[in-house]
Amino acid sequence: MNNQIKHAKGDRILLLTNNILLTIIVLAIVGPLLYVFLSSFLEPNAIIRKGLALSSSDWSLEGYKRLFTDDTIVRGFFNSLLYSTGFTIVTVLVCLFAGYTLSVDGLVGKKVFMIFFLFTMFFGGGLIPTYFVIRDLGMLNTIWAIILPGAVNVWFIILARTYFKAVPNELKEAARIDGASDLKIFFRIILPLSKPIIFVLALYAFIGQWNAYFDAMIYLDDRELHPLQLVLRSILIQNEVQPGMVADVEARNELMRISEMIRYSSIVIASLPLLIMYPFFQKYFEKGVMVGSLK
Amino acid sequence: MKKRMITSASALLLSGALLLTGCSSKSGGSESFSAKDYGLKDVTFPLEEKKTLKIMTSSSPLAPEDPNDKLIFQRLEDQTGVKIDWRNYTTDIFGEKRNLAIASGELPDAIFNAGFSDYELLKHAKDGVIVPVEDLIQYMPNLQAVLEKAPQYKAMMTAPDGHIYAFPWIEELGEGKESIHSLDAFPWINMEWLNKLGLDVPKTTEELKQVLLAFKTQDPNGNGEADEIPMSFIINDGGQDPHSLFGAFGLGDNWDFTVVTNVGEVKLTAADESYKKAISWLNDLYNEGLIDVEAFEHDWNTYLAKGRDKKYGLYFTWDKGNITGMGDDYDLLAPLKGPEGHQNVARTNGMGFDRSRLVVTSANKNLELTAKWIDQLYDPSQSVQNNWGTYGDEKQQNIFGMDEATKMLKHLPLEGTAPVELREKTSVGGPLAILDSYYGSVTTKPDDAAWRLNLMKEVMVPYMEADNIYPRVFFSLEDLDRLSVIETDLFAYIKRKRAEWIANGGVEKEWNEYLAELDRLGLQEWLDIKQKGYDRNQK
Repeated sequence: MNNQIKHAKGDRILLLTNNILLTIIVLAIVGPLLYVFLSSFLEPNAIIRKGLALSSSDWSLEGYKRLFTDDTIVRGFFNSLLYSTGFTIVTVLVCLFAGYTLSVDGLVGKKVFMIFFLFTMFFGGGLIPTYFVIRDLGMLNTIWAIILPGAVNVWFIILARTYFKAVPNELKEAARIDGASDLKIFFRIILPLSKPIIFVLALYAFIGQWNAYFDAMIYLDDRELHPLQLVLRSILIQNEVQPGMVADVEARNELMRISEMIRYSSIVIASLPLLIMYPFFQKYFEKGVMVGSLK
Repeated sequence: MKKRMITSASALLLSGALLLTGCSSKSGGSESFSAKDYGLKDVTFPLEEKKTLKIMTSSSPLAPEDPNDKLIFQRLEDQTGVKIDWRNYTTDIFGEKRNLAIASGELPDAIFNAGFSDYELLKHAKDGVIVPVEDLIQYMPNLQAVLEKAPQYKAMMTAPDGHIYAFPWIEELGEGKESIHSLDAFPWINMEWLNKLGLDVPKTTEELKQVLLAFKTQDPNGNGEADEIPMSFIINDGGQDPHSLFGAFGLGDNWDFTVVTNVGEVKLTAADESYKKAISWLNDLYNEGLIDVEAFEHDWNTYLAKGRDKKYGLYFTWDKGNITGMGDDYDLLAPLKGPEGHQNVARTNGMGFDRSRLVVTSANKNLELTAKWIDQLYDPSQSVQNNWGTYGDEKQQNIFGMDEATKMLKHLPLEGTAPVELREKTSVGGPLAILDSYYGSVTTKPDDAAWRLNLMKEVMVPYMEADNIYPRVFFSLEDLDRLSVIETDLFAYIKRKRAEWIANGGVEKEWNEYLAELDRLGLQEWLDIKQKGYDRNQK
């Protein structure tokens, strides 16, 4: 490989520092992840006492065993999967439609529509009125209370609109001359060109919904419908010592041990789908996220 | 291909919308959240015809989702003929759900395990969300009996405006000075190390210093390393704080810095001359390297881990079983004699009393029925079961065995099951009263509590000078407002200076400045409110 052009000295220094910096950043990100991953296989008391000593006697699968035998967690996992997928499909579709429409030149009342959308970014109805609306629509205790209220995401619409604006007008004009209608242009010309933005929106939507618990907490009474994050939350919050429970002193330790044990394994389980998704979405992500730097 | 995908996706969306409209036509309309008026008078249980009350409640995620799956409530339903239609939420989301129900006007008949602060209680009473219940007590013979035997609780239940807004939870373990809450921070000393070094249990503050010095320098654990921690605590953390040693200098100290002298004067411990001397003594120990350097920052887990490794010579906690185990290697250190001959221990302001375990809402149309149902919970045997768990459950382990001859509930040994887990699954909490006189007739004392009560009586109680603790005074909204404003700054300042002085010294030099700052932060007004509240409560 000697025929490779040598870098100039300045460049080499730059590359070196660059590599060192990036390595540090990678370590800073991978370190905690690795810590959590390893801790999830360890006896919690051993972690507190010795840190990650990794001696063979401290290994334990008890955390995972507890998680997988607990049917509320398994159920919560599938609920979360359903909510996140459903929400992603709905919100991406809605935002693409809206984004495209708003990107079209010559749309009558474009400004009004935009203000209409933007208004909701700054002002909300508040929790109780929103609750009333959801209740009167009969969506309490249904999957729709999770999927529909957040489906129109103004930020997503702006992202999509910006992306569509960058598509050359000539393409649309050519299609129109060939006799295509607006709908046809959208589905046949624009969408095939929009993979990056679709994936970016889908990823944002999926992650957002996967990590959400508040809507579910407010709108879903039925524990069968609770998503994973809500189930985990109630398990982890249990270890808070209640005033007046002082007589249960020995129990406090036991509770802390259990929750400490479940904590790490549940983090691993809860972030698994996202970790699996990332590599597949990554190449679109790079392109699509640049859209955020809008004009 | 792509086109088909998109078409099917939009079809899905459309069918979703259709499904949604289908749903709304089904479940719309006004569902009632409280029971209708049954028009019952002079209720006697069991009712001839089953009636339903709608109650909101909270329970642990470990407990069954429907409280009616608990044997206690099944039995109660059979006894009374009142079926409870529960709206139950896990404790982590209960607060939001409860407030949502109140804000949206979806009021149940009552809220069980309501968990309101005094402030919320008064606020909701003012807004007419909950109703005063003192007139209902006439229907409640069991509660009347409790208040007759223990009249002190009546004052604590009553708001400054003279109304009672909630039914309380009362759990006594020992009475007066011998109550289990009398002292939270027990000092535990390492007997094994004392024996090894041939030392006596220290009786004065000076002897303690010599013992701690020996712990530090003479390698009592025999591993050749100076890894012993002569003394450890977690500063400002209730039972882990070293305040129980302060009594050797006079007044003593406790977690909320509030004591009542035997002439009924409310005092702030942290503004007392003896407090200065105690801090100065602790600073001396710190300078000698006798106090854990982590004592000002470590959390419970680290504290526990070091305790499990038996590294402490002297440490503080509620019950040694939690930290160093129930073995003989640690023993309770009796109150020390100070340089001026004081030998005292200040009592902790704690009691098994929770003001708002059940509130009745303004939506309730069956007050008498509700009151009589609640009264069942104050039946002695029922209270004991509601608090801890029940007997005779064939599906799971029992906390109690029922002695049929004496009708006494006897604690059974726990075989392997974590006590909290079992307790959460079987007990129900709520309003109840367990008086100290019940032990021996209605039930037995839990073992761990009995052991601690004994220690308290033998070692600590003889040195407790104060006859009274500061009780759970019910303050008015205005007072609560002022107290919270003052305490936010005042207590934060006291706690900060306390840690700072123990570690860095300077208490003597800064003392006058500190007293002036306390006054500036509202100490006099605070004392005034606290004193008035105390006097009102004692009347």
